Amino acid sequence: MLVGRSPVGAAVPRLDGREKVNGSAVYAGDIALPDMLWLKVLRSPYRHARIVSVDTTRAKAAPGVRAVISGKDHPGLLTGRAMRDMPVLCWDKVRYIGDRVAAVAADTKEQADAALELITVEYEELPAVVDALQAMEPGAPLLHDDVTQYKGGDIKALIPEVHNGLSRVSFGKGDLDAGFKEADLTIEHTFRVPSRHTGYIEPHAGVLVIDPDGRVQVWMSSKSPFRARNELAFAVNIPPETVRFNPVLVGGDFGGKGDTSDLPIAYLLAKETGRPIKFIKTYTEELSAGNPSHQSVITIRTGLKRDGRMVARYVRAIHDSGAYGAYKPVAQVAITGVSHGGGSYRIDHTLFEAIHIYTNQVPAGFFRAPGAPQVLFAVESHTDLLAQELGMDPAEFRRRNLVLEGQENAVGHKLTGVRSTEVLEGALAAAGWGTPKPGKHYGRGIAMYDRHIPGGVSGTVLEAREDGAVTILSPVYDQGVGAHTVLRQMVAQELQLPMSSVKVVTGNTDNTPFDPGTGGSRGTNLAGHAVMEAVRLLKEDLAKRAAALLECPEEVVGYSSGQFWIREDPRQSIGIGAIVKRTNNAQPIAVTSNVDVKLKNNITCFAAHVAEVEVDPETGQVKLHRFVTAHDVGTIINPVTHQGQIDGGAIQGIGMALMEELLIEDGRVVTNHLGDYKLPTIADIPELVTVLVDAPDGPTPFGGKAIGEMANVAPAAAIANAIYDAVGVRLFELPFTAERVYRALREKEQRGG
Amino acid sequence: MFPASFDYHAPTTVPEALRLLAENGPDAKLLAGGHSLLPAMKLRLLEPGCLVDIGRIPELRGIRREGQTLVIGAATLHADIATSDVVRQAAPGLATAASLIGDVQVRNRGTIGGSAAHDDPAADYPVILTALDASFMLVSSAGARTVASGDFFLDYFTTALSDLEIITEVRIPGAAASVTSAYAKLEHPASGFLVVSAGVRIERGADGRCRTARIAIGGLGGRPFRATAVESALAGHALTPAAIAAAAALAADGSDPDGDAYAPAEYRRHMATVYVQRALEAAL
Repeated sequence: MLVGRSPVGAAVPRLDGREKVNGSAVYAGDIALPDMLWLKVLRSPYRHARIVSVDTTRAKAAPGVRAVISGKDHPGLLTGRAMRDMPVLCWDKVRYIGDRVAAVAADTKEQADAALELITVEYEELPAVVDALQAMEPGAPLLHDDVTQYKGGDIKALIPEVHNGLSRVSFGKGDLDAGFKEADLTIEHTFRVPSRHTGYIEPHAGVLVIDPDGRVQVWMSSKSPFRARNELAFAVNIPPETVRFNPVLVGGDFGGKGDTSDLPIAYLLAKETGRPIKFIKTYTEELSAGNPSHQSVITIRTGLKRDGRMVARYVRAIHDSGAYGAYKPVAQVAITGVSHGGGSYRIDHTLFEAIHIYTNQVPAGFFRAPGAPQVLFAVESHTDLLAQELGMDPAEFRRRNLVLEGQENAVGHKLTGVRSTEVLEGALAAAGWGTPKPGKHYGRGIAMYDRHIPGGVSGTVLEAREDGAVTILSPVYDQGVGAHTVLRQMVAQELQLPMSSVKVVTGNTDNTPFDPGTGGSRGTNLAGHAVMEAVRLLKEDLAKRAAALLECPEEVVGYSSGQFWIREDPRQSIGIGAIVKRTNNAQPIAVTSNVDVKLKNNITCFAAHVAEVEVDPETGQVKLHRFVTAHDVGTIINPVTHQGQIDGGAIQGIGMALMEELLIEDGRVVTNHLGDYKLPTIADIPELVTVLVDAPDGPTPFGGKAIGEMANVAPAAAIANAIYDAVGVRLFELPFTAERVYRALREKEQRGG
Repeated sequence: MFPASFDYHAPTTVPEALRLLAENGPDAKLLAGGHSLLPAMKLRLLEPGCLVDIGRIPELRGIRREGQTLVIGAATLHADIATSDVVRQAAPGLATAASLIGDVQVRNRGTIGGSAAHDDPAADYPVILTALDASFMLVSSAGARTVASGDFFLDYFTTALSDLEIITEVRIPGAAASVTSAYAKLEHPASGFLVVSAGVRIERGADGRCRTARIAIGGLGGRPFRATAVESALAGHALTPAAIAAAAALAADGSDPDGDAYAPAEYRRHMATVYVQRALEAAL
């Protein structure tokens, strides 16, 4: 147990807080280089069309314009975070409104914008399909001739046999048919989830310059610099080692900031002009041609016993990938949230599949626990419907089915360290479940979620310096989650140094080892183990040097609080700074760690939410009065950043439930600015109550667990269940806008309900 | 984006402003609070060559009573109207409408004349000013004229104001103990603009019954919709909850709104009945 003033567990303010608040923080948009040109992209106005010709003559002659290129000049270049199916610039056809067709580099942004209007593109419009279910019909317009022609995808996941099929992933166990035969009743529902934007405040921005020696230097709002470096290199056919990503702060990510955005085009224009190229996407481009979450249609069928046990379940999620799979950073070209099709419950016979389909819409990408918010809305709404069918209290129904210590979950992982019951009961108690409600048209609803803590590879550089301090040279670009703050706490704890003696510097892709970027609730686990391994290596290196200086065998050298000493004679000691001065000419002594952290599927974190809403039955407006979220946490490395993840996640989930929807009409995004696309603000958020169920046995250093994607996944179902409890209408489609609730109330009235 | 470049003038009197308007012709645009004009310029939807800033003309600002008429200078800020005791007493519905516009920052810069002249169909002032039977004092170098709200708000972003005129005052009659008003609004969650709103003005007789009612509804078309069916149903009747509910149910009669994805036409029509009822209840 960690007590007192130890760095781990302390409420340390964010390292990047001061510079962000005082405005000195440097983002990609702040980078300015001499002779820099501005890049603007001409995008397709058609959902689906053949490009007949492109005439850039007039644009090239426009004031300030230094270069104009189109896909006709650079045919065949494809890009993608994993599978490369998206043209850098379209050369033969466009597949969505917003597809990149041509680009301008000019002295000013305004000149670049003006020149776009002087490019003449002749299109021959093709039939389009903007609905995933229709796209699967054999006669539907075909977007891609052969999905297997693309590089970077996992051939086992691709589904060329399905019309407009991109990929399929599945999870499950047991014998589904036998399970359904065993059931007393079978219940099926279908749910729909619209596309949402991740809503980072900083739009994608980047600067690229090609040095005289051919070195490509990049400053880019990417939380995943190593992967983005490789993606750029693959897109424009250069070796990844020639590219260096330099550190900048990232202004929010939520899964949407790992791609290269317009960087490959910037490279082509830098090559052509010999000058640095800069781009900052507009927020309209972000909303209408970015990588929003997937629109999904989720069908869920459960075989139920009269006593309330679930025995079989089939879930099919159809995810609309839009025109490309390029924004999915995994070779399966999939979002795998459907693995949570069983919820936090025991079900013996299961099959959960997600099918990704191409349509002529804005291509979809990753958004905080990709696919899980969509699937959990369906799963936990359905859970309440099952309880209702049996006339059982939703809490009681969950108690009977919860996966418990040592039991297998619905996808076959036998779980240990399970705190499902404590989390559920904690949330129920804090929410006053079963107690009288404050007024008429009030309702309460529950939803649960659990997920594993991912592994992967990471590394870091750690340096000891002559002043006795150490510096973490980190490959992690902190996109606002507080990663650097917790890494610093871990190193201070492990080396018994004051926090002020541990610095964190963001490295570049040359001077640090590979890291996949913060995401998937893995940051503290991966980068944490990387710094712990680096501390071990550094202590080992310094102990050797100390032994030489103290003229004793290495085995007798001890360490505490920055000092190495001889165990039998503690008066003979030497500090870190002195070792650096005397053995390395005062130059920093650096070690590099490389770790491969194993995924432990048997450990999960549970979350339970209880929403309390009031519904105005005349207008359909839903007022969320209280939102309780309970979490099974390990050691909390930093309570400030930890609570920030919970609150921020809950707010994102509440936004998904009540307001966020990227409205797409006939393939065109119509909510194309933040005055139309509603993101939650603090004025929309009620009292958030957090319950922590802690036991320091998580897999991260010091026994922590994941928190990044724990609070944003299940709120929508909790709120849907609360609305049902309040006014008796069941909503199968997100978000719960006033009009949608009103319509459901009228339909209920007409049914005489 | 930055706006295209433009000339900027900040006259301190109305005659000076009128002279600048006349000199610069159709290339000139009046700037008051700038909360509609400047975003349009930043998007390059508008590229006026010359801005005449009337926000610094002292005579255009202020709130006063002239007998039973409430007079508000055209450059008076939303925030000043929302918090004015004079307005609260003489036309409480106007104070409520002003308090519901945008956010604090917008209310601290935006002006009543600017909002009326812009005539956004989702703005609050056209609705409440129509209900209050307000009139607009319009001045040009040729002279002054007064236009009633019913003749002023014509269609989407279209008013009776000419390019050479300035709104100097908004005049609201009937500041009397027997007259009351209220405003109720369903907001769009993202923009704060109205989806549907209702402004009501009730004049009571000595017997407490409704003598006349004026009711305007926003969100049902290009200009505030006068709910004449509700007005007739209320006139001469005691204002009981049942009478109010029965009258409010007629709110959308004769309207033909355009719907959108957030609020289809049928929803708007129903919300009109809900918000007319809420405004009537608030007024009494």
